[in-house]
Amino acid sequence: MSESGTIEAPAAALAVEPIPTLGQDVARGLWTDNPILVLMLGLCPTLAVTTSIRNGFSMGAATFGVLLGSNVVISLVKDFIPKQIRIPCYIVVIATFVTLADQAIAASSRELYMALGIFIKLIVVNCIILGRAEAFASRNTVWMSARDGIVMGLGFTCVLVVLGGLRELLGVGTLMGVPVTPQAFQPSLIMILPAGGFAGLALLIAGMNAINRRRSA
Amino acid sequence: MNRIYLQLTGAVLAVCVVSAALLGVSDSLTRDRIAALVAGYTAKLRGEALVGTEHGTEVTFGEPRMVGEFEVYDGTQNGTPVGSVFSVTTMKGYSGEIAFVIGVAPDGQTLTGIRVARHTETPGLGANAAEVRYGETDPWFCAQFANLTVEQVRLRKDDPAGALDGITGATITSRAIADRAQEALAAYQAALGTENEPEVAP
Repeated sequence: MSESGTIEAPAAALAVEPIPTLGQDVARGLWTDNPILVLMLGLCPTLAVTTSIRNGFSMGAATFGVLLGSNVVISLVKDFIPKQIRIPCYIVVIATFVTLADQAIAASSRELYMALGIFIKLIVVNCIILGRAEAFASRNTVWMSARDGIVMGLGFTCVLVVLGGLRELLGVGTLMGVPVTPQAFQPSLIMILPAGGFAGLALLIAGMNAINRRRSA
Repeated sequence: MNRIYLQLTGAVLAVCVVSAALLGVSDSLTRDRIAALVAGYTAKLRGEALVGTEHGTEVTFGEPRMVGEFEVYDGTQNGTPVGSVFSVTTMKGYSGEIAFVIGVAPDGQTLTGIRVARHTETPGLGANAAEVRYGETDPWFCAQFANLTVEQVRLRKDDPAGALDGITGATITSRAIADRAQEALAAYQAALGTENEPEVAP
């Protein structure tokens, strides 16, 4: 817990924050605290895998599972890990969890593993996992940490799907692999290359800011 | 002062030991199953490399034999031999190793097709080597290799005799697979040639 430097803080420090409702939590994960567009976490995998809706959704689903699991596990062991070495311990926990998930999927279905396999290994370095572990799971109950994992995972997946759809539509002319653009439309390959990822992400963030500004105006 | 370092080290050690134990258990539980799934998947790919995805499961294989450096499986569909398959790998993929299966027609002169077994290429770009387009059954890039002779197994942009279209935005992946396929087919044909040559009388 951060120490307040002033003496008149005690009353505020003791005040309990109201526990958000499930609806408020979902709104938090999807919009106000969206891990990609607001917290700006996990941008590397976002840029890399949003080349199509299917890839974006696969990564989102895999990350969702790992985020939920690691939040729960870290919330369970938070009292046993000394503060000074919490980060390396969290990383070991997360990496172990990801490896277990990877082996579980590999042992269940070859097709599923071929579809998700590349993404699973990338999740270890996804800052969202460590970020939520440090910012939330290490300080809250198991249930609240699980909920946080769920809503953050939902927000992450939604952005991946939207960005993946945008890049797939403009870069290849398909959605979910189905050609949807008219013949006259020439897809621009750059949209599924990294430059297009940056551009698409910037558009989404700008769009969200514009909507927020309009709302509060 | 020293005591705290011992405690911290002990804590990290404890976390690592528990993790290692969990992973060891998980590995021993899943290792055989994963190997079986991989073997089953490769066997399925062998059939597909010979006759396409739709009828891939109809092909049966016997014990492999060695032709040169390759472990070759001969495929039979409804009693008729449909060709031979063997696996090759190339390290020249964009992100590392690509493993694929090559199907050769019974006459040994043309390919029947290839299938990508294992790769770590970029999703949306190099990974499209195994992509099946909407409305189709076979991955288009692999299906191109059907009925090609060894000179034709090159990208159009690399060789006027080539008959292969590369994957948009994934030239390195396309080239790695095409070149390796050509090299492997040539080696296979050479090995077959030496097999069939009558022994020279001393």
